[in-house]
Amino acid sequence: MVENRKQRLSRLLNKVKVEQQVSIEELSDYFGVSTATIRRDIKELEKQQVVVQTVGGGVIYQMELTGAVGPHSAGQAIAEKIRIAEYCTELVRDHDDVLIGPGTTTFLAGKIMSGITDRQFRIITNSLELAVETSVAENIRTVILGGEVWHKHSVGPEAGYEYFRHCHHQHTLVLSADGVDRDQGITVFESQVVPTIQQMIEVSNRIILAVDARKFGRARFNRISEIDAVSVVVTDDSAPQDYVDFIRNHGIQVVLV
Amino acid sequence: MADKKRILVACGTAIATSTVVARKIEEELGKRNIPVETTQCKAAEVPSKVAGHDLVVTTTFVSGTGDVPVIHSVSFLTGVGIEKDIEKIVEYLSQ
Repeated sequence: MVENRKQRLSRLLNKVKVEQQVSIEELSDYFGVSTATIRRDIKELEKQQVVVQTVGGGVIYQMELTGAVGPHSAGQAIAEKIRIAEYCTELVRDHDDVLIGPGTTTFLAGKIMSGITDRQFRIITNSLELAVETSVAENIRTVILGGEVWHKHSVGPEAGYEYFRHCHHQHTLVLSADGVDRDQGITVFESQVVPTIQQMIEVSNRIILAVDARKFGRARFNRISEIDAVSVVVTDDSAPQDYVDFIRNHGIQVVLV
Repeated sequence: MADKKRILVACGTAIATSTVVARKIEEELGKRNIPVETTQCKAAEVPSKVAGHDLVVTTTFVSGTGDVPVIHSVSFLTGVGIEKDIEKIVEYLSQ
C-alpha cells in the first residue's frame, strides 16, 4: 500500500530527528519516492518550522530557536553558559548602553544583568522575555527593538530598524555565535538573525563574544564578522589552547571562566 | 503559614545571579501566598551564612551547608522548569 502524505511526513520528521543531518537523495532512497516529492515534504515541514533545508541539499533538524532558551539548548553546557554569562555582568560599566544579541548565552547574560543593582545602564534587546525581566529593575532602562514578533518570543529579522538609524555608535554588544573558526571567523546557523547582528556590530565599539568552548573550530553557514571585530572573548576553561593563543595573538583579551 | 521561611540564595562569582533568582523565588512563592525572606551570597560564602536558614537554593555547586537542605536549580535563569523547582521548594519549606 502506498502510504499517504501525512504518514510520510511524520516518518520523515522522525528520520531527520534521528539522523540530525541527512541529504535529500538519502531520504528519497529511504522512502522510495522522488527527490521532488521529498523537497515538497521538506517545504511543508519547514512551514511548521521543524526542519531546515540547507544550501547543499542537506536537511537539518532544528533544535534551537534563537532568542530564548528552549528545552534542548538549556541542557547543553548550561553550567558553562551560566558561568560565562555571569562574567559578562562584570564587564558592564556604569551608563553603558548594552546590546544583547540573539542566543542562549547572551539571553542568560541579559537576564543575570537584570540583577545588577550597583550600576545604571540601558539594555537594548529583541527578546520579549528578556525585556520583561530587565524592565522590573529600576536602575536599568530597557529598550526593545521594534518589529514583527517572531517565534513567539523575539522580534524578527528587521528588529530595530528605527533604533539603528538614529542611535550612537558606542554600544557594548554581548554577542554569541554558533561557530568561531580560524578561517571562517564568527558564524551563525540561522540566516535570519544575520541582519540584526550586523546592525548591532556596526553601532558597537566594544564587542564581548560570549561562547562556550564547543564553538571553537566550528563553522556554520552564515558569517557574521572576522574575529578581529571582537574586544573580549569570554569562554569556559575547556577552550582549546591553540584557539586561546590564536585569539590572543590578534590582540584580543580572552577570559576563561 | 505561621512564620516567614528563610532561603539563602547562592550563585557563582557575581552577586547579580542570586539577585535574579531571589526575585523569581519571591515572585513565585508570593503568588502562592507563601511569605519568604531571601538572603543572597556567593557560593564560597555559604558555610558562613547558612546558619538560621531553612533552605539553600543555588545555581552552582555549594558545600558546607550542614543540615540545611540544598536545591540546585538553573530554571530561574533559563525559564525552563520553574514550576517543578518551585514545587520542590514548597515541599522542603513545608517539612
